[in-house]
This record gives sequence, C-alpha cells and structure tokens, in this order.
Amino acid sequence: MRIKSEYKIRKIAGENVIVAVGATNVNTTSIISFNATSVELWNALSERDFTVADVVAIIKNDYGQSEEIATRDAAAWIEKLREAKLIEE
Amino acid sequence: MVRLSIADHIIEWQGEGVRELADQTPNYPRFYTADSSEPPRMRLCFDGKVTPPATDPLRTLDYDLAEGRCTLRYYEECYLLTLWSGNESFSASLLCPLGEGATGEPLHTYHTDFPTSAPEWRYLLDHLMVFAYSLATIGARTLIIHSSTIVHAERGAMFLGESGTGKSTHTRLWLKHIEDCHLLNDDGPIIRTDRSSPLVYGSPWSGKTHCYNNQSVELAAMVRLRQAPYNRITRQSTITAFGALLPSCLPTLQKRERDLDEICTTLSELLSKVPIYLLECLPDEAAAHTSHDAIFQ
Repeated sequence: MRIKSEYKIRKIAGENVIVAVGATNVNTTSIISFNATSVELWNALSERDFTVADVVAIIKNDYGQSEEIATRDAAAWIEKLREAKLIEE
Repeated sequence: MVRLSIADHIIEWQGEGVRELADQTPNYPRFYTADSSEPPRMRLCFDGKVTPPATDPLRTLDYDLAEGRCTLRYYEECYLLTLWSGNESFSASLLCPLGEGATGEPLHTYHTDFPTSAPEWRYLLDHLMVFAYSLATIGARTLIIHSSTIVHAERGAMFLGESGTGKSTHTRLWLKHIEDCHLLNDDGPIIRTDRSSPLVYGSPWSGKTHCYNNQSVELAAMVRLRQAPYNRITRQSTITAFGALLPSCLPTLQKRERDLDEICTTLSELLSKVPIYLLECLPDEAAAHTSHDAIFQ
C-alpha cells in the first residue's frame, strides 16, 4: 500500500492535520488530526510502498513496543488512514 | 475606470462602461476610493479576453448557484470560470492567469467578457468578483468567510453555519435584544490576519440583505451555529474549530494545493488569536444573550 501523494500534513495553530478535500463542490472535506506518533509514521512511510510489517517494525524499533502491541497499533493506524481514504492499495 | 478599496485591498475595473455599470449597482459605489497612490492588487479588465489555453484543463468543477450555474476549469497556468443565468439566456466568463505582475503593475490582472451594459445580471457579476477577489488576495492573509457578522461595542462577532442554520436569524435577534450593535455584513465579510490583531471588514457581498458597510473592526470571536432545542455555548478545540471554518471559506479555492496552503495559513493565524465557539441554539432572545455573554463578558 501507499499513502496517496496528494495529501500532506499541515500545521494548524500547533496541531498536525491532514485536510482531505472532497472531489465535489459540496462540503465533503474531512480533517484528520494526527498525534506525534502518527506524524512520524506518516513521514517515514510517505512516497513509498509499504506493508503492515513495515509499520509494525517502526513502532517496535522507535517506541520499544512488543510485537503484540505494535501489531495492534499498526492495524489501527492503517485502518484510520483507510477510513479517511488516504491510502491506495 | 473604477477603483475600489475592499478590506484595504485596491481593486480596479478597467474598460469602457465600467463606471456606469458600477454606478448602477447598490453595493460597489460604497467601496469607491480616490486613492491612486499604489498599483492595485487586482485589475479586472472588461475586455473580453477570456480565451482559455489550448490544452485540456487539469480538472473541471460544475456547481449550481441559487439562480444559475457555474463551470470552473483549472489549468496549469490559469483559472477559467464561466457563469450561466438560471434560464441560460446569459453567460459570462472570467479568466485568471496565475502568477504575479511586474513591479509597478497590478499584482494580478484578470479578464472578463461580462458586458458592462448588463447590470441586471449583477448577481453573476458578484459571484465572479467574489472568486476574483478571493484568488487575488488569498496570499495576503485575507479570506471571505461565509457568515453573518455583527458589530457590538466596536468589535465584531461572526456567526457561521451551513445555509439554513439561522445565521441571519441569530444576528437579527442581536439587533433586537442587544444594545449598541449593528449588522456589518450578512453573507460575505472579509477577515485579515496580517494586522496586529485579526480584523473583520464589511464587503460588497452580503447575500440577499443589502448591507454593504465599508467598515472594519477587531474580530472578537467566531461562532458556529447549530439548531437545538436548548441554548448552550461551548469553546471549540483547534481541530474542531478548523473543521468549522474551512467549509465557510470558498470551496472552489480549496482544490489546488498552493491555494489551500494559503487558506490554511490564514486560518491557522486566526485560530491562534481568536476564540471559536459552538452555539447550539433556539431562535429566541435567550440565544442572543447566551452568545453575547460568552463573547463580550
């Protein structure tokens, strides 16, 4: 999978957000707020193909989490991005 | 020639008959200025030079107006906006080349084939001007924010919400029940964040209400309205407030990354300096007091 190239993190009054603008003129824009971990994952995985295992590896290595917690957090992070349609498979 | 000062940006109309056209509108004469000390930020030439590039547009967006419809074409080097009246008997286009003019020239020069002999289509001219103005000033920490805006004790309070949520109803309750207040603008006031504190300005665009105050005040607060069977006001978090503000800015300028960057920068500055509230409210006197007390006491 890959993070869609048209999205980027913007800093809004100190918060990290992704602005996903809707395709039509009606208001279908969604705004996704990121914490520091999500920002790091995003930056590490932007502009390249990655797998669930890549996300798990970053969480394990950078945050010293167990395989179990890293797997759970990676799945949750990917799910959040999928829901917001920020990922292409 | 017509020279307008809108939120302290000089806008010029050039072409035969533009003065007669502007004179016949209720809104633009309020914004005439004699100041000719600097080149305008934007010059709109009524010269008919609206031929688009030979290439296909990057994207095309069709949308409806209250009366009529629009097509906006995004090209690498320009925007082309075409407007039709409700019965399609009238249409006009606006060509906005991107990039900036040379020193001493207008920063932005746009072109239209809107006939200066057609004041009866001024609602389409207004839509065209809103787009042109927004694009020309987007990099100058300036935004038109869809709202009804009240002035109280020489400070402004902006009420936002989707169409039909009761923005105008709420500001009318203020006019009736709160002392020392007047309506600044009922649809499209302008904010600027490149001042020591954010200011809100009246504009020539006020929806169905003829309220074209050429005035600016310090912005005290912005309030998103939501209908409810009770009155309650709560301060919004940055993220929620951002989510409330972005849809109140011109949606057509949020499709191109660099324009969205500019809008986000301005909103970010605004959110750092001005409180944003959510007002869940009834259309009653107590609702006006609820928002007044939260903002001004």
